[in-house]
Amino acid sequence: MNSIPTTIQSLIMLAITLGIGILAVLALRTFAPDWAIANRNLVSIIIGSVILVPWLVAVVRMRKPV
Amino acid sequence: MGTKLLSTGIVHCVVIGIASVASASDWSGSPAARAWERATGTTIDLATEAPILDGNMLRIIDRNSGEVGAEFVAFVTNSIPIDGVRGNLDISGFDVGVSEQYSLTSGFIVVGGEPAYFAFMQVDAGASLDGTDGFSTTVSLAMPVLAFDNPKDQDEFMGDVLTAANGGTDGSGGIFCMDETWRGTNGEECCGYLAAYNANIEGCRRDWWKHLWGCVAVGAGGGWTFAQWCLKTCIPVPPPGNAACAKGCLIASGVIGLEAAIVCVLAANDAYEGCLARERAAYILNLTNHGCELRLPEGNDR
Repeated sequence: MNSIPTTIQSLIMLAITLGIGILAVLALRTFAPDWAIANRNLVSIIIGSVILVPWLVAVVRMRKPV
Repeated sequence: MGTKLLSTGIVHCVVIGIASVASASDWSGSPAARAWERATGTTIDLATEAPILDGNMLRIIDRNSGEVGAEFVAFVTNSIPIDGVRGNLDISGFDVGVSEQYSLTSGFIVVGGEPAYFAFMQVDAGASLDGTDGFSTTVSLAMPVLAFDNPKDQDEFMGDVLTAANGGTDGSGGIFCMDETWRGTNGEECCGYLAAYNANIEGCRRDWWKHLWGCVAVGAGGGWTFAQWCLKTCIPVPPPGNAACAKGCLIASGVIGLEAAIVCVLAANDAYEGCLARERAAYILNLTNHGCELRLPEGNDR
């Protein structure tokens, strides 16, 4: 990733973030629906963390300035 | 001999049970009774006879003598169980277990090579006698209660019944709930209120999941919107400072997305808990108003 992400790159970031979040909810809904309802507060942290991860990955992948 | 006596006793019991659902006189003039007569050329007198399903044979037997009056080849195509009623009798020296499982069963009988489609109120009644001379037996009574012109109508009906039954029950009730041990002041079925409560709780759960989907969009969108604004402020910054600025923006965007998602899910949790509290209050009020014994369903959040 360049020093400052382009519009396209930021749109890709949005898509990835949305995609990962949707996958996380889908996984909970499919594999642990009762657990998710019973641990609602934990789910809020899980969803938040899942959304944070792509941004952190983007930071790590940014090109170092020359 | 003992088994036959017990079977006859069970037939009496289930016929009495059926009679509580629809009396014999109600049935004799019903469309199902007329359809039965058209298809088979016979009638069933519930006062003296009982239709018993035995494998692929539907036999009309005399309740007193146990003799078979007529029999038809029958095929069951679908069966939707209704709440069972179970009990135990204590007779000195013996432990008599009695069970009844009610089902709405669809199927067809074949008369003269032609199928006739019916829905049956089926009662599988079993009894066991443990003791010095222990034995057990089961009888399936299948009363035709609805007639269909074709299998398509029959399938659609059973599909509707299944949808309705599943919509309001987790095994504790539904549109067919029957619980002789849980009746209100005027004899109404209290389990109906429990079924409605469970259905409403399911509604609360569905709403929570919908909110959760929305919270993903809120979290992702919140972070992205902030990133758009923040990154623009980095453009005028000369290198290498702009890279640090962009990194800071991305980290801040992630944190804002995380916080937005958490706040959103917490709000969804509050809405869910409010929904549970309202439904619980309404359920308890319903039971109280109708003189029903208070029974709370089991579960983490109920």
